[in-house]
Amino acid sequence: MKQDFLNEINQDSFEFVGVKEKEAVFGTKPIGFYRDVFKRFFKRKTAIVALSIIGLLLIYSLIMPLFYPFDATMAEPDYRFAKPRNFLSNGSYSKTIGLNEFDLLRSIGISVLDVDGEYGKELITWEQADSSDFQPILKSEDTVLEGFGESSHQNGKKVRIDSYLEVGFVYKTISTDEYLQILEWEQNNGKNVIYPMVDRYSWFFDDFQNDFRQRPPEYTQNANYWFEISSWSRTPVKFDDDSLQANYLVFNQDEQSISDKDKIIHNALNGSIPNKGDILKYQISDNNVTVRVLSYNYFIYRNGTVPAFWMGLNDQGQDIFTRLASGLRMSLLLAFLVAIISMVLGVLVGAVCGFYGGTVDLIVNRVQDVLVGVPTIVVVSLIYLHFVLTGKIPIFVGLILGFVLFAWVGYARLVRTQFFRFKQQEYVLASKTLGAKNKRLMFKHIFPNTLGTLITQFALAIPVTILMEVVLYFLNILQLGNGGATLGILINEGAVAMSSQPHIIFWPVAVFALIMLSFNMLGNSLRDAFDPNQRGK
Amino acid sequence: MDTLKYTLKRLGLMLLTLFIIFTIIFVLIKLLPTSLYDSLSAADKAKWDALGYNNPIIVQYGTYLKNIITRWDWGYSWNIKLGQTSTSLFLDRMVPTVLVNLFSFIIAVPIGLLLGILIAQKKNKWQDQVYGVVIIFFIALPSFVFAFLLQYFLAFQLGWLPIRMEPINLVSGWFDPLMLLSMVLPVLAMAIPIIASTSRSVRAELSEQLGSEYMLLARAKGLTKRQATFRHCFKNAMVPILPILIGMFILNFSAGSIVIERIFSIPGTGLLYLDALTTRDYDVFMVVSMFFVFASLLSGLVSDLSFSYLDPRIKVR
Repeated sequence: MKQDFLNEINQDSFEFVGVKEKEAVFGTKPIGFYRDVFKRFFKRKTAIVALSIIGLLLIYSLIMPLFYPFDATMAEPDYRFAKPRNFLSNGSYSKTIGLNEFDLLRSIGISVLDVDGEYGKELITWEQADSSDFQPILKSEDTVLEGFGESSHQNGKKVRIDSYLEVGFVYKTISTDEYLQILEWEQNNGKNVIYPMVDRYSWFFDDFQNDFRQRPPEYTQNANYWFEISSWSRTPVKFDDDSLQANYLVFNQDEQSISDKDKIIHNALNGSIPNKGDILKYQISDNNVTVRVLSYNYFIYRNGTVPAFWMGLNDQGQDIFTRLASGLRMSLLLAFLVAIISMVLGVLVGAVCGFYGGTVDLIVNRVQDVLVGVPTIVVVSLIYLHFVLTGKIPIFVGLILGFVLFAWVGYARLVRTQFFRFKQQEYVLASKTLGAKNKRLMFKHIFPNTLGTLITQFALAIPVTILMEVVLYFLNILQLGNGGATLGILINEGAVAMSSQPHIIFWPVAVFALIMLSFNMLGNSLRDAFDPNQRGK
Repeated sequence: MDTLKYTLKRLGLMLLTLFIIFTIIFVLIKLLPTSLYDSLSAADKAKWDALGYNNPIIVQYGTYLKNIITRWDWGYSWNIKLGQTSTSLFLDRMVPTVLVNLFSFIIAVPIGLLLGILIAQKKNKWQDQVYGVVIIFFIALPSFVFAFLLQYFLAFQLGWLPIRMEPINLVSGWFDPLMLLSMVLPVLAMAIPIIASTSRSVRAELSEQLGSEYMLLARAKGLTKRQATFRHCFKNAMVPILPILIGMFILNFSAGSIVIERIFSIPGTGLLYLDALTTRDYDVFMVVSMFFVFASLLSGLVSDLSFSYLDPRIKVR
């Protein structure tokens, strides 16, 4: 009866209460913590900038050297202090030089043209010399500076010099085989490498003393003096028309006075014994020959490419571009190794201390206090003196050891606090009740909570390690071992000659600054991204 | 009373740590090869033996400790200045280090505070954004990069200031105008990072405080913005900053300035440390190292303790 009544009620006269207030269904997917971190990290401009700088530095240190014609083992003492030649600068520099040096450098152009026009038979004007491809003086001011130089009784000129052409000619002692190879290369490539020898040990007439004298040592060593000089201060002898008088080595031996050994060499190099009065391109010294080579072309002959170093050369003629790339590689490797080793160590120690607490924690805490109290510089220098200088371990290992000794403390303290915080939380207790072992609790349940801070610490520790390494090398506490270059070694090298050769220190410091900047920016971005308070913002 | 107890406890712990580090460094130094001994003259060798430098390490340790406690005798310099006690040598070298650090703090802290306050007022405006970009450079780059830049441009290129610090024997004293002029570059190089870090933390703290509710109350009861900022906000904002500044001040007297001292040839404790290390002058090395350790421990301790003195809300356990 009652049932029938109920059936008779029309459903349409009812309506649900609160349908309008029904819970809205989420239109978006739930986002996990790490996904959120990831999203927030890449939204930050600083993070993107930092990552791109780090990427560029890695490309530079790992890939660029493959596309660069010179390698880190190259040493060109002739080109020491060569300025950077790249798309921004042409490798020249401004300098005030004495008038003698001005003449000397400027005459390189004449010498080259002179030989191309068959040894002085054509008259070369200074204007022609200045337009030569090998003229090192690119620009010079007309005004003569009086009282220039240390002795200040010399007159000078302000000029712009190409640091690659400045080298000009050099004397080289080579084997007869190489001589012949160069001659062949000259014919194939249409470039002159070997130029006539200078009669550099003969006596000259000194105008000042009005007598014959031996040539000054600079004249005998510097192959750019191809002209006759008139005084000890190396003033060139000029003809009336302002051209220079060459002082080439002329063959004047009699046939009988030539030794058999020399005859063989002459025949090998020249095809025959030279006639009296011929200008010689080589001078026999024992079994080898001394030649006067145009350094620029000699470089092309040996390396297959023109000398052009993107970051210049240092005081030993080593290429800064490749050395910096390998130094950067080395420093980054050191920093990453230190960070990884100390992180693993710190996590293990910190986890044990934080999870178990008690006596272990107390002892470890005291040890950490001691370690934090000792300045890094003291311990690294003692490790260096004890183990590295005595040859027990290589310097690279010594540095890792010294840095890890301190770096692990930071990680351990971080992990310890996180373990303290999380070990009493309900979810851990729940897992414990379900029978989870300590190891599982520690590394499956609690450890993931520390990941964010650990990664941040990792990123921030890298510039700290590199800074420390740079400082230790800069202070000469560590001396150059055979472990190759690092950023610190390069900066120390550059600091020595900073006033006169700023390009040597500029590049390493620039790269170092970029590293410090980018890793600090990365670390700060990571810290913000992992900050749970910022979630969803 | 609680504070006193806590202070004493921390002091005791510090002394214990100091003692342990002292022992470790002593043993490590004594284990080093004595290349210095071979280079001494016969008379100095005799002196060396008489002073007991060839005894077993444990005996030497006892003697050394006894001399320090009873007579404050830290041994002698053998190489840098033969025969001078290492403590007096160290004290001589303290002067320039303290002066340069003091000057840089006197310049840097007010500028840093002022800059921080100004930027905090302009929060989220263009000034703040420019500051945010620029400050990254100044925070991330270590002071020696600035030192190189300053030295290269102001000293080498423009020639406005001396490249290195004037040697003390060439001028009349530490406050000679020439000497002060030559201190400008190192002081600047040291001041830049301090200005950067101070202003950044002041900006962060102050802008947080400026948005708080007591500030609203202060403005509501009729204080001007300036009054409210300086009387209320600034004090609160300084609570976390001041201890850091104090700690930095103490720490900078030691290891922080070695690089700057090397760049500008300041004859201070940092260079003394380097000299002692490179010439194997072990007693001097010991004194300087222990001072560095002491300074770093002290700076941590003082900055920790000053928290509770500065902020009555923080109660020490």
